[in-house]
Amino acid sequence: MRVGMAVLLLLLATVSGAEERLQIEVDRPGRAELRFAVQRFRSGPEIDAGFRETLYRQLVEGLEYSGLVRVIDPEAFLEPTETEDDHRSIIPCDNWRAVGADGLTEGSITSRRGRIRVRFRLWDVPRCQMQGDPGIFEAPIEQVGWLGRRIADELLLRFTGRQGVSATQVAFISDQNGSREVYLMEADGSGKTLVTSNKSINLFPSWTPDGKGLLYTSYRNGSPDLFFLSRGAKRSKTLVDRAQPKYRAVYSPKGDRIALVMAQGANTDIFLADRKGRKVRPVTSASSIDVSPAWSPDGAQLAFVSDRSGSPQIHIHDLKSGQTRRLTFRGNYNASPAWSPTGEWIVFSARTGTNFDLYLISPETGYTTPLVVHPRSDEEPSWSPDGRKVAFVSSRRGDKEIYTVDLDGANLRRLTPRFGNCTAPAWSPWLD
Amino acid sequence: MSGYALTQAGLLGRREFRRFLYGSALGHVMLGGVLMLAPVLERAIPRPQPLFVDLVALPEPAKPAPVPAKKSRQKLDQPLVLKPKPKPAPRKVEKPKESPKPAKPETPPAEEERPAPSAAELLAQLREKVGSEPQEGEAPTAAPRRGRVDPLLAAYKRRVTALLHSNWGGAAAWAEEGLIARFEAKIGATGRIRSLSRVRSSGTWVFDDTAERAIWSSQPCPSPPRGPLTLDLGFNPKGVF
Repeated sequence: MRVGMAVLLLLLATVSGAEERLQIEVDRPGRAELRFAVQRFRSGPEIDAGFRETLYRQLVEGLEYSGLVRVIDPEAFLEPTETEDDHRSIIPCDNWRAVGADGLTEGSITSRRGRIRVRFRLWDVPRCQMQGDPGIFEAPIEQVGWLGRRIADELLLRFTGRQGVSATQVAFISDQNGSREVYLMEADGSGKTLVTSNKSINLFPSWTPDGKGLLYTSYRNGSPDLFFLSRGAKRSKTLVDRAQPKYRAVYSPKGDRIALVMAQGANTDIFLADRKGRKVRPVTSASSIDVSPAWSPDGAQLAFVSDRSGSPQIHIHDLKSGQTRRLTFRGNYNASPAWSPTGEWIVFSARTGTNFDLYLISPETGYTTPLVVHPRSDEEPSWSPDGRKVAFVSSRRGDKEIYTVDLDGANLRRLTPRFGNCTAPAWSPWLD
Repeated sequence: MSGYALTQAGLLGRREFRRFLYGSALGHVMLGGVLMLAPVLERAIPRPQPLFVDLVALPEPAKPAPVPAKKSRQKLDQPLVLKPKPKPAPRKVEKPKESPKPAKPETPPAEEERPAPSAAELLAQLREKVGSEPQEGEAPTAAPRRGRVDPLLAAYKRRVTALLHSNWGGAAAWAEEGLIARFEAKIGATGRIRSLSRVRSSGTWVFDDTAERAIWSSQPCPSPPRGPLTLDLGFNPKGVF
């Protein structure tokens, strides 16, 4: 009888607790971007209004540069457009939710001894919680624009797990002064600055993994040679003390080795050297032209171009086993491989007809998909450090110009309008 | 005699008293059961519920003939008497002709010749639009029989799905084929989220976060048609690759 009563009670409890259930499947996001509300940061009278505005503009542009975020027009805010208190423990989330914000950024600016100090906070509005601790960034006051973009990249890291790249730079070659010199520009194409000025032919800039130095090839001494330039230094120094012509060099992801292209008899081969250009040893020694080395993100493999099969094709060399395999089989001219930071893809240029287009190929499976296809040539790709964008050279408007594009083909951006012929873009790592 | 007195009298061991105790316990359990079932019974009782319908324009009523001002006037000192409206004459029902095939009219009947639909007819049309005809003896807002589509829940599902869809942003960059995140959301009678729990992670926290934000952004949800409700929410992107 006791058992019967217990069963009865359990049954009653179950029945009375049952609630109507409804299953809903959502199979498509309604919008591609996240929506951010950005308040102008609070500042004291010591901060020039122009600096404050520059910081705000660069922060907004940095967020939108990612292609992942759309910044909400402050005119739509139900709350003040300027941060009133960036220490409060709660914000009126309903009001921010009402304007459709996924994230809210607020902060304050102070300055001291020529340096600007920004304290900022990021709120996850739908969940009404702060995303991480308050961040504090500092920079010389003349770098206020960079600071705004750097904060934007940090906000993206906190919200999406992947740091933005708006505060990175692109090194490239331009002939706008008559000779081919190395230049630097911000990732959005602004702030172009001359790096070399030797009135010679300079080629193939590439970054050290910490972003504090550049390798490049120069004909300044008559034959092609490798040079290294530290950030802030005025003079470059030669690298790899060998008599043979040296055409191109790239640092390994850890920065402990250099892969370089050097003449070997009538051909060129790939060589390895230590980080100072010493202890040079061959990687390939075929009777073919081997050029354009590109490191895998783990530093264990090198992709390169070789014509050993009769036409330029992309090959992969495993440094541990010493084995080389051919990766591309379609087309009769595949060149300029660049391994994505995630390791998932190699982007390369493939000749189609008389022009080149950009394709992605999986180094594991060989699966190939187009990235940029245009009637004019698109070539010389370089990955952004987050692996979401590619910089490349296109002649779609006549001169060779540098563009960037997202991995899904969206957000095509022209970086070097009216700047002569621009080639060999090299996207920097994250810079701090 | 009270239980205490019986105990004092040493009657606890008697069979009659044990029967009395069991009977009393059973009675209490049944009373408790009724009380616990009360919410279920309450839900089963039909209550006025909102009916989601498309707005349709009713045909304009025929304009009344102008009435002479004299007749509409009433003297203030006279009591206001509302005269019952004369009943409309019953429609003449035409007898079917003997001919088996009635001749087709050459032109369709003019619009104004159609009688204005009655309220009952309009309601029937609306029900038809909603997709269900209430059965005899079944309240329109009661839960439908098993296997039938509940029009109220179906409409509610459509509204919540549209809301989640519009609030789900920023997922495309991380969406990969096969990613599925599942949540259980308990929705109160007013549409507020009482609790939200992640039942299944996609394995990518950024993707899970976008889905969870979509749910919180949808608060307050539309009020559930029959009180508190549990939503099993799946976020499984297709066609965004």
